[in-house]
Amino acid sequence: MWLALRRLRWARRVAASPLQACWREPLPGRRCDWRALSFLVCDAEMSSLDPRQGELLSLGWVTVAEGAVQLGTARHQLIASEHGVGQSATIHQIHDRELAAASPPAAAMAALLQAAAGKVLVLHHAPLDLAYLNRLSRQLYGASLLLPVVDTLALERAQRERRGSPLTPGALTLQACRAHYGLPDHGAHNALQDALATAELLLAQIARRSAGGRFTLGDLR
Amino acid sequence: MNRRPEDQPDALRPLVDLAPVADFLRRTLPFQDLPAAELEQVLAALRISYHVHGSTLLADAPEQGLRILRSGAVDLRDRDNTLLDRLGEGESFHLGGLNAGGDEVRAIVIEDALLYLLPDAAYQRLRQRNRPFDRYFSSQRSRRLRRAARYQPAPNTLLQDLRGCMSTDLLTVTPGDSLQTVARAMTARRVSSALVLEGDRLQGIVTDRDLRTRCVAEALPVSTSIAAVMTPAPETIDADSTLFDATLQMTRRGYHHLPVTEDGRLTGMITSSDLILARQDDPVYLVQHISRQDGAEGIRDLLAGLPQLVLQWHQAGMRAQQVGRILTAITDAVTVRLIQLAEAELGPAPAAWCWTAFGSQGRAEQLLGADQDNGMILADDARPEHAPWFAALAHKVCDGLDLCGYPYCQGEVMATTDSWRQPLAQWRETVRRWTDTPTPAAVMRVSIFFDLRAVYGDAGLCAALQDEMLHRASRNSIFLAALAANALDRRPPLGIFRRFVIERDGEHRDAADLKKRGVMPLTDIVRLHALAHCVTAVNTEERLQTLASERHLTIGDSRNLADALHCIQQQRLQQQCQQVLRGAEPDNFLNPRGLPTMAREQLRDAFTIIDQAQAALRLTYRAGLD
Amino acid sequence: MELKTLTYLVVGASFALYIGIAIWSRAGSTRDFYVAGGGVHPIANGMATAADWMSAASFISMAGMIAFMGYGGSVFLMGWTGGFVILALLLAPYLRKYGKFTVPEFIGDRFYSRTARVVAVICLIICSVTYVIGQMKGIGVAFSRFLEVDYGTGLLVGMCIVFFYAVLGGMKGITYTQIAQFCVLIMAYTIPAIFISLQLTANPIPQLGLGSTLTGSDTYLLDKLDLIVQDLGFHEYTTDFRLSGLNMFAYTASLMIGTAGLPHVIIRFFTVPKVRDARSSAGWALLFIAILYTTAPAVAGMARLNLMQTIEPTAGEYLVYEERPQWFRNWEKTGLLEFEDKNGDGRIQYNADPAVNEMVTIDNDIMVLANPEIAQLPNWVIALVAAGGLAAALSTAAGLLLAIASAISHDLLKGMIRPNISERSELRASRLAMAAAIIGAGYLGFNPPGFAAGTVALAFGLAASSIFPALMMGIFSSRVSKEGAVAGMVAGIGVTLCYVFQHMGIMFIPSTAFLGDMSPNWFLGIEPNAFGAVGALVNFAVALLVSRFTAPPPASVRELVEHIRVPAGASAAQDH
Repeated sequence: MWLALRRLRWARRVAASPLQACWREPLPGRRCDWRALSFLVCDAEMSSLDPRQGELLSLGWVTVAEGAVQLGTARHQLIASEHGVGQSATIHQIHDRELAAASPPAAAMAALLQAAAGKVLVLHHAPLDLAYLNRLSRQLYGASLLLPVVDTLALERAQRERRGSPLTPGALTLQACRAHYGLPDHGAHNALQDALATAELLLAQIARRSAGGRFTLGDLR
Repeated sequence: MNRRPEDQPDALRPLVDLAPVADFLRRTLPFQDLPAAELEQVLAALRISYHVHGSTLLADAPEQGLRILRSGAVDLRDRDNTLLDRLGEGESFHLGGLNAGGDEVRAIVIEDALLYLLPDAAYQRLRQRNRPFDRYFSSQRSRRLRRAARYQPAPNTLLQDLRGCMSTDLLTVTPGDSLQTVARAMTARRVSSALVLEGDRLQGIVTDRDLRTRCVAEALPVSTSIAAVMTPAPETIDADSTLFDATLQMTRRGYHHLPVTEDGRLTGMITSSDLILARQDDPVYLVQHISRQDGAEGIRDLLAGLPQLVLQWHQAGMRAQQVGRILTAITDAVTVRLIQLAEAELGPAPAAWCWTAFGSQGRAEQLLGADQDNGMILADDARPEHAPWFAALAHKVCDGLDLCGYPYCQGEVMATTDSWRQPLAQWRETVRRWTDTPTPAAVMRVSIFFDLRAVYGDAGLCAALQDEMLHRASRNSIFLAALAANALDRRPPLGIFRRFVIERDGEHRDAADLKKRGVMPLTDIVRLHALAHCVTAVNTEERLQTLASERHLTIGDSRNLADALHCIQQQRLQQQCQQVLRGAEPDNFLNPRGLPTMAREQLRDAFTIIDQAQAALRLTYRAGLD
Repeated sequence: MELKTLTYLVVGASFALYIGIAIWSRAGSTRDFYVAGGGVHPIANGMATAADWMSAASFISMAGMIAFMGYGGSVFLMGWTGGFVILALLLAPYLRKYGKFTVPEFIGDRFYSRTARVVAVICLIICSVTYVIGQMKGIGVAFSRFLEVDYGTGLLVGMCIVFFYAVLGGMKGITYTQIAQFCVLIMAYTIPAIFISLQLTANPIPQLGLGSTLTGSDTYLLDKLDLIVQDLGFHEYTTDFRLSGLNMFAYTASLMIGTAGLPHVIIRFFTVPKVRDARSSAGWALLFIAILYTTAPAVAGMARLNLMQTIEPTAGEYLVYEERPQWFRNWEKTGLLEFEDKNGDGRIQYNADPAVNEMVTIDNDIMVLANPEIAQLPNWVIALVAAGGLAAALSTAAGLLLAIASAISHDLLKGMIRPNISERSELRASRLAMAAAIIGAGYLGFNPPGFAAGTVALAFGLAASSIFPALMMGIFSSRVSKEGAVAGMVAGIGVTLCYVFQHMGIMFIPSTAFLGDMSPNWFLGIEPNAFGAVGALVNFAVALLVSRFTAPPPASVRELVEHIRVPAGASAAQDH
């Protein structure tokens, strides 16, 4: 509801942009069962943990629809950087050389928006990734993304707190969360692989919490 | 406005972008040899779903296709709720296909499972296009068997490796630290031990007890450096070892702390309290008690309950190969104890020597009712006058083993036989003679002898002998051909048209000998491959793994053989357990008619695999003749 | 009982016997683990070796060759017997000491080169396939006669039976099956010979009968034969020399040394664990082989005499075609015997002069099978001969085909082309290879390059030119290098193949022979069947020459070569 209103407010600003096309799809309903929803599970790699300094290096996403990850929808977009990769290259296994073949930020963003239309965006540790995405969106279209978002990390934290289990540092990393659900090691660290890992985590979280019954978008937030 | 079609400037490159999934598929059997182009299509069509424990997948669900288990486990049950199969990671099933006969097969998730679904359309298309892939699914044989053998229920706690229970949060100090610093750190961390490291290297260990006995009791000043009181160069254990190994090592030596290393690097610590949980109804106690007995009679009494214990393990879901390992460890312990007792009586050995186990004990694949196969290798500096000492020891140990329920070997493969108790040089000569003149008798001895493992004493002697034997055997293909003839001599009990062949008369009428016609030919086959390629491992499964990783066998062949072995050994164990329950003497004869259909088919498949491996053996080592 | 029924019965019974033994030994309880001590007795092993050794060429064809070539046919006797001795004494002990089970393994290891191994494998395949062609011819003749169909159909039926026999695996190697086969074939060979010898000379031992006088007269059998054949313008039987002395020598040498290269026989020496047993079973095998080989000249001479007397009962008085005996009619159905009434008198003129001769086709290979019929022996003897011929052909063909299949699927496919092939695929490939070899050999067998024995002689010639020199140099020279060996083998088999093809047609298709198959075109008057000996010389020469100019073998190989020539006992003695 709130999102719809905010979108209305920015509607004029984003006219004729990919963001507008994305917004044109109706927002998923809160009472909708998760199997009827489409999720776009996304992960971003960036050159710094500080959104003001860093920039996006790559985006990876994959759709979850009809209760399953649709592997064919997976995309991995390297984003052309202005400043080179810098020191975090070792973490992200991205090198300037590879980035030469990357697409400009606008194209990557447009592709993401096209994939995200009508879907719920899912991220692990959403604030950071969203900050980057929103900043880019504002630069490009003058408005934030204003997409419905689910954060698997927040979901996990809430779940653990509800059960009163103590949280040790590092217990909520993607890998640790997955291990908690008996999901296999997901190995390498790139945006798409992390997105895929997050998508599997999302399925596991939903499966455990729904116990096979009805489970709505509202329950996810 | 029309939606734009989803063609992106950066299209999906499945093999690169989805590399982990692709790698996983490449490790699973039907996908392993798929050409890249087809693998890409599979990847693009896959759907991933997660199913919690207890959920059921039905054949009439809207989504159908081939399901591949990425993790977790699934039971397949039919209409009558009979368990058809248990599947684990990397295995696949197709409910539609299973239900072709109208059996209402369903899949029940027994461990939370991540499933990859290859939708029917893509699956059928692939089967049409790729013949090997299609053949994999149309050849029921390997599939059915693999399903039966691959899945293992939650591994017995004792056989877990140490990573799961060791503490990784270690307190490390440097050799220069003072007693007080260390004691404070230990108190602050509430741990009972600290590891002394210099750089990366483990220098020593210090425990509460050390502080008590070596410092406080001696009234050392608190400023003494810790290096003075630590236990230097402590024994460590590899993280790959099992809990069983760790417990054994600690109880034997009376340690309470064992640093754990991985590739020589310190990664954790395991303490006796870590092991307490794993201590119920386990063979460790048995082994421990064995090592405290003062005579063979005591050991015999301890072992009297062994069949019951095996029964318990079997009922608890322990697999045959694990039972085999543990039973072998117990035999080893008995042997070692008997040797120690004999040494205590006869005085120290006059020369270096090694007690070696052969046959199933050597391979660590013993089941109940095994007889003894052993020998002694003496160092070359053992003089003739030392011979009586070794002979006396051999007799004491072999008699003791017989008393403890390991009957004498009919073929006299025992340390008491002079020709099985020789100096290394003579052993070498024996090996040379055997390989140059492979008479059937020599070949039979050799096939027991080639599965050798040092149990006690100087393992270097055993290694030297094994080295000699591998060297001689691998380059003499006439000898290998004779071994192959021997391996081909015992056929699996399948007649023409794959009917079971059973003994027609005698004590075991209507039964098939699982050991002689199943395990032995299979072991022979694997041993022959191992010898031909200089593989030092002796355990059949390890041999198969090495053969596959060195590419002498394909992964598929190696797994088929391993699965066949598991399947037969499992039936054997089950049969023995039932005999124990009935109060009968365990043997190896099984009447296939008494088995449920599924188990009988699996057994048949296992024998078919042996039959096929024998045919391949004939091609490889006997130039296709006879 | 009618002959045809009886033949079916006897042949069927012999097959039932082989298959029964196979099933019995497969299904029967396996021997106890510690009990087996002795293994197979040397006599039994000798019989099995003899069954392996005596092929359709020996059984069906050799006597026929002698019958028509006269003494010239003795090259086969000398060559094959000598070859067996060379193999047993000169090669087998050393190869055994070297510890390599198959010839390609030895060559690959001794010449430290995969290429050498592959070349050896290919040479072996060529020789073996040629050998199988000879067997196919024999099988075709036997089947066409006893099914009373033409040769082509008989061959086709034979191919199917050979395929099932070889593929149904296990049946071949069981020593007892081979012993049974040996018994069947040796009985089938000697019993009719004894009968005929009794008939003609009243001497029950055919070997002696050949040198005796005919019953009721003072004329020696051979003299009588000489007289008759010379009457008809043929060469004198007893002094007929095969073309020239050099050719005879080359022919014999080629057969003799070619023996070494045939895979299925040499392996027999390695399947016996002890050297002593190997020696004594070779001795026994030689004895068993000699039974057949010494009977062959008698069978040949008597068969020729009987044939001549049937066609020309009294001098100058030829048989009336319409009154021809039943066997004549039966063999006419196979197309292997043809009569053309050139002068229209309704009588069968048989003459050396092709213009007058009315026996336009008379295939050498029918002689042994037709012999008991010509001599009007009881029907069961005739049936037994058919069973014997099939036993000889099957035992050898199956062994060869298994060896070919293994060479293709294991040495070539798995060893070279696709090392990662699974066992299942390897087995499937071996069956395919076997089927292909049977089809190939069968196809060439429709149009064989000669009589069964002649074709087999070609196979021996190819082996003589390629494998034998490599083995000899591998054992007796430490200097020959891999380049030398490979060049030698290629040159040897290449020269021989070229010579054979240019005279007998490429792949034995007669129309492609660019130089006629006639003596004026032959090199030094040596016929293609005998050229293997020349090929062997070329092989030796090329190998030694190339080795001179290439790096010597590594020291380890040289040591090994020196080592294997020390007798086995000596090294053991030095150790102590």
